Amino acid sequence: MHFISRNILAALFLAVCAPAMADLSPIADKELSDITGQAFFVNDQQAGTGISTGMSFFKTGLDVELELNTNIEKLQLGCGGINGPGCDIDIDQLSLSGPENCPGGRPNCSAVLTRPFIEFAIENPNSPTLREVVGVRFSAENAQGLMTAGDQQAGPGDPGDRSGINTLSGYLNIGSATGSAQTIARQMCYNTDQCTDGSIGLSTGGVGTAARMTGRIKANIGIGEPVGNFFSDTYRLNLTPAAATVVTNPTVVSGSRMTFVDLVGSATIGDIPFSGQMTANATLLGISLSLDKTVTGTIRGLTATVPIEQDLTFIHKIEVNNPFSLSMQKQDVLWPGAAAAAETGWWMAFEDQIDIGNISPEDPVPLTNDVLLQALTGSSGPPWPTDNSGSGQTCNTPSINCSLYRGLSSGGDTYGAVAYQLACLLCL
Amino acid sequence: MAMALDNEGLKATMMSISRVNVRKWILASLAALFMAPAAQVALALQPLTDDQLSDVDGAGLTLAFDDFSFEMAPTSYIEVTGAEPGLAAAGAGWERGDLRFYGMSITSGETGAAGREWYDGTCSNTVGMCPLGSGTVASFAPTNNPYVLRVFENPGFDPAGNLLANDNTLGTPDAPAPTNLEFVGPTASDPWRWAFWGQLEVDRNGTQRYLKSQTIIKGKNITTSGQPSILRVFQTQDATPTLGLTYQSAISGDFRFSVRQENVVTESPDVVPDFNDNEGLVFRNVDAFLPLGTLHSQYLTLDDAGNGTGNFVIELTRLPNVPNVYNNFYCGASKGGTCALDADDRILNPNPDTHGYVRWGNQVANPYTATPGTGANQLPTGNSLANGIFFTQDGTPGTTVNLGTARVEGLMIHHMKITTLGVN
Repeated sequence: MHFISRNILAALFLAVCAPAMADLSPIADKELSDITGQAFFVNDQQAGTGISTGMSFFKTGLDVELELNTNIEKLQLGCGGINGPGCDIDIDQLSLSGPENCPGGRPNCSAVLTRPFIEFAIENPNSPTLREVVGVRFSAENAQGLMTAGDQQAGPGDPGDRSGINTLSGYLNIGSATGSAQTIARQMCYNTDQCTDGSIGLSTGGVGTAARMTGRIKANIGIGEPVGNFFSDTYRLNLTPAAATVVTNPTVVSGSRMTFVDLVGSATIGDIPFSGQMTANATLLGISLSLDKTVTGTIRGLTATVPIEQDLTFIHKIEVNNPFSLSMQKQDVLWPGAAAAAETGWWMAFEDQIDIGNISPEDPVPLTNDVLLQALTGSSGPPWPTDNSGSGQTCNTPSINCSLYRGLSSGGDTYGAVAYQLACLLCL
Repeated sequence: MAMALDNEGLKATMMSISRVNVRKWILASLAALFMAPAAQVALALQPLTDDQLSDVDGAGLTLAFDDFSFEMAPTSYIEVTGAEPGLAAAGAGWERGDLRFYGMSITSGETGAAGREWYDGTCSNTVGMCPLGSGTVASFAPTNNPYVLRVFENPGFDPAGNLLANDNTLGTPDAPAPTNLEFVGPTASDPWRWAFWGQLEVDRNGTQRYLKSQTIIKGKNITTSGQPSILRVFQTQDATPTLGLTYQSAISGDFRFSVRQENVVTESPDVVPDFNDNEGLVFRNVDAFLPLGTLHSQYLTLDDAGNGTGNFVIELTRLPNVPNVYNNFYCGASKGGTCALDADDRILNPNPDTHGYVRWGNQVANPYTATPGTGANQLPTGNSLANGIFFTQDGTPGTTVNLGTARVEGLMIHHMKITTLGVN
């Protein structure tokens, strides 16, 4: 510091005080052009591609590393105008700092922007009288840090801690995220009219008899232990809520004025206790029997693909380590290096995959019929065949039906249910 | 151009920006050195008596500019000379960058379509954004509201949280306020326009490519609420004192950037273009306030990068993690005080002196429910020319795409550090 100051002061002093020792001579433009020094600025120009073919992109950047730690209480961009009432980007309590694990906490660390630049999108670059600026982009060769939104605590003004990203226009490449969820209580029935809570029966939508509960039953009747098949197309099981661990798939999201993003997650659902009525048709020793039974049990090890509508107000943290950019354009523009075209208006783009932290859906996750059919049959989709193959009590593909088929198997017999009170019936 | 020392103006300015009396050093004799003969004096100057001068609090110079303008020839330029990028920058696709700013000017900022431009002097812009005004700025820095260059003793907390002040406004001081040199702009003036045409050059020693553009700012270096621009220079109060600066940037008005030309004879570099009168990207009703640094705990410093390369560092020092400092920074709390919070645990009364903002367009209370219109105070329609940010080809609604208004509120920079990479 002192070294620089001394040099600057000395140079100024000499410039002001030194007597003119020689005549000044003019310097030609060419001579001036030959002068080089430390480059504070660097420039670039690229031709447009894709939908921006014919455009030219001029950018000028600072050949610097910019460290920044800043807070913004309210960021609203693109309110009204061509996109109508509302805002293209609307974020409360936006903070930018260094990484989350910074020693001393966020106040002690700054985000690092390498070679920040401003870039102009020029339409008709080769026709001066038609030339037109159609967009401006602010970006950096790379931005590394932690961006957070919202005050991250609930209060009367934002019950549920929903402050943060209200609307967003841009491109997000969201990496896999984990979280926890709760399933919704519902009834599991064969036909819709068997449910009393409005749930749709599993047999609807062309599923038909594939939605039957099937298995094998062993009867303890005193004259032997015959084993026979059974099926039920009359059941209503009450499934209680259960906790689920969710892992979302990497997702690319792009759009204007988004308030939520659609994610797809794989949920590992905890034990789901159930109870209810089941009427089964069994065949034992060639005799058809009707069994009306109150059943209880637990569905265990259920996995499901669950759609998650993630409200942006619940995304409070974005780890950034990519060429982050903010742009505005009068028409859709494919900026150089961008994965997707920026749409008319303001646009925020995170080009590489970002970490949005924990994803825990605010609303309970529904157990869809497909999930329950998967639990019932072990199949991942239509026509929902049940695979009862396995060994002893072990199913190759775990499912309710397979469990009812071989879950209690012993000796050479394969069965999943036992009836103890059929003696009198079969003695007739 | 006229420069004048005005007793009443000095008093008014000082009273508006500080509550603290300072040493009664009158540098009127120095001021006189700057009193060039008035070429164009719009207001009659009143001579000051010695008694009047001795009543003035403070020490410094006032610089008043009536009927002021500054115009470089359209072919005169300031160049930011580039160099071949280093390996890392070149590897990322960067090329040598040279920037020239031609015909820099400060001229009148009158309303109306008429104005001037560099090529042939004639210009008519539908939203009044020609690059050159008709003449001088009548009250660029009025005699009753001039620029002030003075030494002053502003209160504040040092980096360790000690209160340095000359009165008890912020609590009982631990030590007197140190002296700083400050350059304070007017709190009111006529609007003026600052313009240049630029030449962005890519790869000077190779496949030279150019982008010629013009940039126009019409307004004031004052916010709409009257906050002036202030530059302060001082010795820092930390353990290793050095030269420190704080800068309060203030600006309000309109902005235009354009590239389209007319009557193109040649696109050769350095040839003055005949820019189209209306094309461009226009920002209407901008209001910006950006404080960089807070006396005496956060400031801009210069240093070398410390790696022997010759690179250097410009740093807005990190806001100390000291309660007296950050509570004053956040809410203006006095010594030992804390910030009151609202029901949502947010700061109830943010310190307006440290919270910056940038507003592009006059804002409406609720942009989600407001009815769009074409007025200057309405949520802009898709082709409004009166408010917000818009791209236009010819200054008519038919070729205009308005992107609406925008704003950044409560901008607080806790730390900023710029380290150059260009010296290899």
